Parts: sequence; C-alpha cells; structure tokens
Amino acid sequence: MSFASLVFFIFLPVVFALHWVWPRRQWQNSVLLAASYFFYGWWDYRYCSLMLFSSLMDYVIGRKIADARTPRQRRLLLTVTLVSNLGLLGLFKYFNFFADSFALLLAAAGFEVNTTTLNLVLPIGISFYTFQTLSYTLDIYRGEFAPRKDLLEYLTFVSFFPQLVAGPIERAMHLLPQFSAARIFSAEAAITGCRLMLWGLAKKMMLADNLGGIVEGIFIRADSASGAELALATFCFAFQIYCDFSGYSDIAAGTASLFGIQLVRNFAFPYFSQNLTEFWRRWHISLSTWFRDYVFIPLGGSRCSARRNSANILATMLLSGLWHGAAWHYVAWGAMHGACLLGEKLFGRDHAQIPFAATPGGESLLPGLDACWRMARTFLIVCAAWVLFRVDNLNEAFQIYWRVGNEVFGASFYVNLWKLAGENRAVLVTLAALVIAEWCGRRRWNPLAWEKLPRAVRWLVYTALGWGVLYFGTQRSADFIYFQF
Amino acid sequence: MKRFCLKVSLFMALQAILFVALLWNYDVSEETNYLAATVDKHVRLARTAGPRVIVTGGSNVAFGIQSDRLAVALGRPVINMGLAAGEGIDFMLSEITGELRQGDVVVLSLEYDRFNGGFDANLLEQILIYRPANAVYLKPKHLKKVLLDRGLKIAGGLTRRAVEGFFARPKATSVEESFARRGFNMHGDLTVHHGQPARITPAAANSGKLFPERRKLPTTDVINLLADFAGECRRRGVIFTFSFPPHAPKALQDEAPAVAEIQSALQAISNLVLLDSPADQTYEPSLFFDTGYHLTQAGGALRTEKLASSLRTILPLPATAK
Repeated sequence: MSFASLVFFIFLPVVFALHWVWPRRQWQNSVLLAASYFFYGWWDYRYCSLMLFSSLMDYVIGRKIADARTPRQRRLLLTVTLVSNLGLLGLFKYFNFFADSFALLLAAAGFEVNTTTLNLVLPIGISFYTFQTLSYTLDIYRGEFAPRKDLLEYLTFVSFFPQLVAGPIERAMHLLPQFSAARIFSAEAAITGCRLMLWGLAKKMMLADNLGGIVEGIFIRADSASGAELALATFCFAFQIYCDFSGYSDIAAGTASLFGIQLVRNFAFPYFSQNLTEFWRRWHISLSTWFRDYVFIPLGGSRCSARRNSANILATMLLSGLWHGAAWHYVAWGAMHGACLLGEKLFGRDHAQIPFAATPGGESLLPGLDACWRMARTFLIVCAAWVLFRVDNLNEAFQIYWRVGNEVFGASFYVNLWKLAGENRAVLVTLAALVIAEWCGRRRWNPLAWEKLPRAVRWLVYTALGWGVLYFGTQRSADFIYFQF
Repeated sequence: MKRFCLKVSLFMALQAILFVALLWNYDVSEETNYLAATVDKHVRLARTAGPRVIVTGGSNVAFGIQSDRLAVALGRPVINMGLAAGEGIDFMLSEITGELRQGDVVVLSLEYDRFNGGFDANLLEQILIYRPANAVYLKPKHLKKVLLDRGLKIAGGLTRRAVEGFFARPKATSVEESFARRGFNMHGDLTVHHGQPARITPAAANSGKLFPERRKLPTTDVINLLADFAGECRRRGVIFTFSFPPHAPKALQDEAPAVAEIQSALQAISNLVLLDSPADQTYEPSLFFDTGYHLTQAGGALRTEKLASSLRTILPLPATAK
C-alpha cells in the first residue's frame, strides 16, 4: 500500500481508531501487527510469508544467542543468522547480478559458461527489514540488547508499517522498547505527525513525481540528449530522489507519531551540507549509521592506520552502493562517494568535524560566501555521483559525463539550460519554494511547525498545501523510488 | 484525544466542502481527449428512444462500425458505445445494463485478449475523471486497482478540471488526430480516419497478435458474466448477440485453437445469439487502419454490411427496406 493512495487515507484512520480504542499494550501491538501485515500484503500477500520467516528466524536465534553458554556457540548462531539473512537477500536481490558478473569475468578470461539466472520478484522493502532484523541479533550478540520474550512485541517491531518498506531502518534498542509499554496519546505529537505527513506528501507528490517526469523524459533518450538537458535532468534527479525519499521518511515518522511511536530522523537537509562527511550525516541517516556501526567500526573504523582507515571507508561505501541495487553502477556510485570522502579527509582544508546538531549552512539567515561555495561544491559532487545512481549502466554514465563535460564551457550550454528551465518553470519554481522553506525552517525537523502563527493562517497554509498535492501531485504519480531497494 | 479528533474532522470537513464547491464548476464539455467521448455516448444512450441497436465492445467497434448505414438497414437507431478494450468486459456490460429497454438489441464485439476478464486500471481512471458518474458501473474487482489505489488520482483529475474551468478551457485537439473526442460522429462511431490512408502495412496487420497476454482464455468468470447478462437480457425482452472482432487472415490462423475455444464457449451460452464466426470476420490486411483490430472506412463499410445482414436474420425487416 502506498502512502500516496486513497486506500492509505482510509486505512490510517481505521487503524488509528482501533489502536486507541483500548489503550492496552497487547491490544495496541496486535492492532499494529495486523495492520502492518495487511499494509504489506496489499502489494502481494506472498511477501508476508517471507517477512514472517525472516522475523521468526531472528527471534529464535536472538534468544538462543542470549542463552548460549560458550562464545563458540554464540559465534555459530551469529553465523547462522548472517548467512540466512544475507542469503535471503542474496537470493532475491543479488543472485542474478553475481551470476552474470561471474560469467562475464570467466568470459574475459576466455572461458564460456552458461549461468543460471532466477526469475524472482524482489519483495518490496526486503533490504530494509533484513537490516533491521540483522541489527537486532547483532546487538544481542554484542551484549548491547537483551532478546525479547514477547513474540508479538518483536513481530510488531519488525513489521511496523510506517517504516516497513523504505525505512528509516530502526534499531531494536530505539524502537522495541516503545512497543514494551502501552502508548499514551499525545495530541501535540499527533498534530506534529499530521504536519510532517502533509510536508512529506507535498515533497513526494508535488515535487518528486513531477521532477521525475523531466528526469525520465531526458534519461530515456540519454544517448541523443544535449549536455544542457543531461545537466538539468541530473539536477532534477538530485531533488527528485531527495523529495521522494525524505518525503517518505517524513510521512513514516508522522504516521508513527499518530500511534505514539517516535522514529529516528532520516534526513536533515542534506543539500545544505558543506562537505561530503556532513552530507552523509544528513542523508539517509539510519542507513549511514547502520553501516557505521555494523561494518565500518567492526572493520577497524578510524582507530587504525591511515591506510586501513581509507580501506575501511572505501569498503563501507562500496557495500552501501551494493545495498542500493544489484548493478555495477550502484557500486560505482558508492565507490565515487568513498573516493571523494577519502579525498576530503586527506586533502580537504575545511574538513572540520561538524557536529550533527549544528544548523546546516550556519546560523545566520543568509550564508556567507564561503559557506555558499562549500555547499555548492558539495552539491555538485553529489549530483555528479547521482548520474551513476540514475543510469542503467556504466557506459551511459560515461557518455553523460563526456557530453556535459564537453559542453559546459560553452555559452550555448547556459543558454540552453536557461531555455530548458523556462520550459519547466512551474516545477522549478515549486522546487525553489521548497528550498527556501527548508532553508528558513532548517533549525527544526519539520518546516511546517509554525505554532506561533494564528490558527487561521496555519490552516490556510495547510489547505493550500493539501490542494497543491491534489492538483499538482496526482498528474503523474509513481511509486517511491526506494521501494525497489 | 477528543480535541485532536475534532480538529482533524473539522479540517477535513472544510476540505470536503471546498471539494464539493469546486466540483460545482466541473465541466468537461470541451474536453478533447478520446476517452471523454464516454460522456457523449452516455447522453445518446439515455436520450435515444427504443427499440434500439446498442453496439458495444472495444475500439474495434468505435473504428469499424458505421452506425448510420446500419440504422438505415435495420430501421432502428443505432448507438455505438464502443470506446476502448481496456474498459474490460465487466465495465462494458455494466454501463449498458441499466439503460436496456424492451425490444433493444445488444451487439457485443469484444477483442480476443479481453476474454481473460482483465481491464486497464489507468484507462478506467481516465474515464472516471471525464465522467465520474461511470463509477456506478464499477464492479468489486475494480475496487482495489481503480478506486482504492487510484482514487487520489481521480480526485486530483476532477480537481484539475474544475479549477481549469475558472481560468482556461483545454485547447481543442486537431480533428485530424485519430484519438480525439471530436473524431466521433453523433452515433458514437469514430469517423476521423475515414478517407485517410492506412497507417499499418498489410504485413503488420497480418502479423498482429490477437492475444498479447498468454493467459488461459476464455476464463470461466467471463463466460459466467456473459451468461448472466444473457439471462438479464432475456428477462427484459432484449436480444443479446455477439459478433467476432475483425482480424486479418494470418492473425486468425496463428491463434486458431484459442479462438476456437472462445467460439465454442460462446456457443454454449443460452440466449446469446452468435451473429457470425471468427472466419466471417476476416478482412483483407489492406483494410486495417492502424492496428490489427481497427478497420479503415472501406473495412468498416464491409463489416457494417455483414453485421446488417446477420442482424436482419433475427430482426423484422424495417418498413423502408421492404
């Protein structure tokens, strides 16, 4: 079930009413569990069995790890969970990729092999819930978290519908305890949640979907498009993916608030970052921290030699790229980010550790020239990497770099760009409004939190936004991009 | 909790009032899209006095029937309800069921690939935007894919048309375009392609696939639906007939077993009159306009002639034809 559909707006009030009608923990968890499986099964009920299997396996292994008497037993159980979880992910998501790549490698060495490929449908959200269940057993293994005895509570944690299919990837120690007690309704949290949902819907439906039209129109004929067109498409894709994914995360967090559950923040105005390190602290935060805690740090993190540290950064970013999709262009996207992070770390003059709590782009309303330059530079690097993310293969990406690189120094490039921007001015003006609203509201999670304004004004703004979503956001709707991961 | 629910309800009620107020300005009289022709077809269906001949089906009916000639041949008004195969058989029959009158004749000509009971949710979404009243023709099978998954898009489409009504009307589409509302005549036949050269080569018309989706055809659901509709027609004194859609010889030859299966399933339905056989609806490849189902003007004239002869065998001769 998509957040941007009528059925969700019927489903949500029904689940809300059922959840709060009897404020008892078991009842509330039962309602959320049933609702979550219904939500997930709306796409295809067969997906539910896979999620249930994955959840039960980690539930059992988690308890067994806690009960294990020897470190060897614990390691063995951990291996079982890693192999099973990553095996499922590998089977559904990566089997064909590795089989084809292996065949290509052998072919390059002069051996002809016939590989078997599987025609499996990738279950929606498998990467997200697999990482969530993995973190549960890993935390138990490390002794950081005690396994849950209450199966209902655990299953609700894995399947909690607002964040099930595209995150944020929640950690057991943050989300599970919230299911351990009966939730108490907070009108303030619920209202904040509604605002966040509206903001998320506006980003997804008004911007991401309409920007997607421009992007698809150009990328589909990437081999014949001009450099200016490709540059505009890349710029639009940068905001399409941001509005799509952060919009989803906002709706997820807002929906969870309606049930008294707080989700972690997944995006914190990443395009106002002044370097790539800051960008990765603000972009898809739940995934970045997952890779940091379960890959980067166990590999040795930063507390090792410079060479090892560099290798750790690269390995983490490569894996992050591969997590996004089973194709070499995603791996290249991760590699490019890894290489730029390394470059920044080794040669960057302004590689200051920017605390996450700091307001992005500085405290003042208008940023200084230095900050502007750093934000623009970071954004350009991120955009260059998005090319690798968006294309279908590496050849296409190289063609795009070549064409943009060839044209960018000529005046006609900018004339064409201006003309193209004029042709798409409605979407680009709306995009400019979003950037201004986010800049002005960047001290808060939700730019729509305007408690000081009179209610009539706030309702007017919410009404305008709601009608904007209905008017502009339903012309061309598409699934959330991250559903495919 | 009460306060929150009250606030949200009040806000939503305000939006609902706004929506209803906005729909006051909803007007698609100048909408040019091909599918907007559903509005005109329904007006004609409701206003034409009986007994009538109602021809329905997909675009093969819209392109390939010449209702004026048929009306003259049969001495009764003809309404061409054919629009697009994507509507699906359930929707096509549902939209005429309520309007059937004693003495009417229904001619159904369904594209072969729609014998799987499928429908195009995107197309139905568009049709509902142009004529929201068509929602009453939806069946439970449409609920998920059309209303629940696309309800927001439909509401958005209605909103856009209502708002645009305040500012500017949609630009008129060139009448030369095949798929435009203005391409239909007063009977509901698409005539814009009359006199135009074919856009498909004879070879392509011959190689056209009758069954793009390789699924079991026909489904029991479709046959049961047709049997129920036939029963309903009998109760209401309506003659229900079926005419096979047009196709090129080679296309039929390639799919002969599947087509024969459909034919025998249709023959088994009581109260359904088969007007012809698939072989009767074979046309020269040069008589196809742009797809393997759409006939040119000459093809349409030939098909109408055949249909008129078949219908004459079950209808009394009109006074003018005696």
